[in-house]
Amino acid sequence: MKRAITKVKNPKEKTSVWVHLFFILFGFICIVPFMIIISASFSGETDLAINGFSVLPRKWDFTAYAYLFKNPKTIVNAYAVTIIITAVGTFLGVLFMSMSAYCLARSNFRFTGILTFYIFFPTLFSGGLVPSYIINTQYLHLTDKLAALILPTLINVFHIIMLRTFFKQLPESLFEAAKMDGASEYHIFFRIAIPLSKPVIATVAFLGALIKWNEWYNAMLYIRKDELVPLQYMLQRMMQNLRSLLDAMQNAPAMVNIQDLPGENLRMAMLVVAIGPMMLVFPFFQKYFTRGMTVGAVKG
Amino acid sequence: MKKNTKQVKKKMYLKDNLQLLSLALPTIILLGVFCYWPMFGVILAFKDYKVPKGIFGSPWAGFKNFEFFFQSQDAWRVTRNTLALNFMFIAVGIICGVVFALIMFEVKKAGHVKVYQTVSIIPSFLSWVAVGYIVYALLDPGKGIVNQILVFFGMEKIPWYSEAKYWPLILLLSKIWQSVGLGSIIYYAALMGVDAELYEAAEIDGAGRLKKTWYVSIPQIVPIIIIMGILDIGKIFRADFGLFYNVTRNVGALYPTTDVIDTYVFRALMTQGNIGMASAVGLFQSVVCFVTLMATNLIVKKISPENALF
Repeated sequence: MKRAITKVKNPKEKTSVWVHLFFILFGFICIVPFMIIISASFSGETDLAINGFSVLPRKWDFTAYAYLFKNPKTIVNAYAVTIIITAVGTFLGVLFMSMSAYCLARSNFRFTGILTFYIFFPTLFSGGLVPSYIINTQYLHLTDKLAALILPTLINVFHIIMLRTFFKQLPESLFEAAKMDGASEYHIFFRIAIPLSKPVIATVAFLGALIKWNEWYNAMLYIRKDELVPLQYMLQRMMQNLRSLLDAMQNAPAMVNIQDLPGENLRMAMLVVAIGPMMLVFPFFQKYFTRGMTVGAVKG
Repeated sequence: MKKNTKQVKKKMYLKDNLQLLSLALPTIILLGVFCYWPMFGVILAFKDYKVPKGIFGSPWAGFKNFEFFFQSQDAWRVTRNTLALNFMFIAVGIICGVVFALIMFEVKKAGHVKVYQTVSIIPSFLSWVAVGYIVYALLDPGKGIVNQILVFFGMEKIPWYSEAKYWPLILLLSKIWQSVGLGSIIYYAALMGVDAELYEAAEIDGAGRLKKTWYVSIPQIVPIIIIMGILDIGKIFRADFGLFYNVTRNVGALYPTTDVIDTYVFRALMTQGNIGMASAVGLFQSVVCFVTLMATNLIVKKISPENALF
């Protein structure tokens, strides 16, 4: 599959103008919404209230960003939480998933059948939201713990399948040779299997990191404390209730006129600061995501 | 001597398996706690849950929780919305993905392909929360871009967030916008795998671009289209909670067309605190989901065993 994607195309063939036009138009549809958001963040609150959103700012205004950087506690805190859950979650997730995937890929493992079933069954049947919620809150006491944002989503069955498929392609003779030299399974896994599997590990790591970076669902269920709110959940709360967030950002009693306070523009500025950096970074690793799409479709 | 090596081998084998099992242990434990434990928790649907007594100690309630749901008008509404909206997403999603891939296939320079792909995948990096902001910027009744355009053309403003009838389309467009770039990759990869000789043969027969697409490209990727469709149908009872919750901003006026099983269960649990009914609806969903998945997998197995899930 991968070889086919990088196939050299016939240079003599010309792309039709219509095809280019289509993609340029589609590109606009992808990019313009971002421009509207950015433009709103650089507009004055009264300007937005009177004229509404626009693709480019009518009049540049930096109050929202000034306000944001004067009261950075909320967003810095949310970044810290998101970075922690992404880093820890991705690292542990990739480690644990590749460990079990390796196990499934080894021919001398006796319990392949039962373990495959055990890992795969949760994709067919799930207990659903309510039992999970009750167990996580009443039995595991995960409310207001960072673990609530890390542990439940650590294992992704499709990523295990991707890893296992890759491990299986590694030549069996490598493992046998290592065995002859008296290497333990741990040694083979960490010293041989892992170093040879960097491409698939990178793919799984990026897919996992994206999921964790965009985490808001479990935060909505289990996080009440302001200082444990990750970025996406902060954004969601702000969408539902802008006022309370402004109050949280500025502990001092409001002395200025309410109308001069940033509102809509601040909301959009928050969005830009929260998702902007990642929007610039992720496209550089596009190949891992596209690879995930094609490899992930392979059966279990 | 021979017996001895056999024993050593057996010992090695045991040791290897213990080591391997220990490698799988974290996954086994995590799945056990976060997937299997809740599976047993589904008995909540038949219980009158009392916090101090716990899941297993609470008194039985029989089918009371189910009756409550199925006798309400909500049952039909949320099931219909889930099925109809998901079916629409699947059908339109596949058509758009395939068309997108076919057009991408007409791009002849690898460099151009890369640029176009990168741009079209950008929306896939967004969470539904962020997509909710974008939809809000477009549809806010007072400030939104769409109403500005309507006014520009002399039309009436539309209070989008209180008109439920537009929302199936709005949700569809949001979904397609967010997923078409990444979703088309699989079809594009399939197209790249088509034997070049087929196109050469078609050219010799005098086929143009459109004819080549119609008579070579599409028939070649029909199998993967069918498989993807069936696999998606298998998940038709499970709605994308993030889409329905964030893009609609959870506005009550939109429930008639946007309330799906997942959002309904969420509200029953989190805002009404009706644990019994919420878990009954959840169990209903899980069971129906399981049945459709098994059925669709059986079909895939019949047509193309190598694409079956299990």
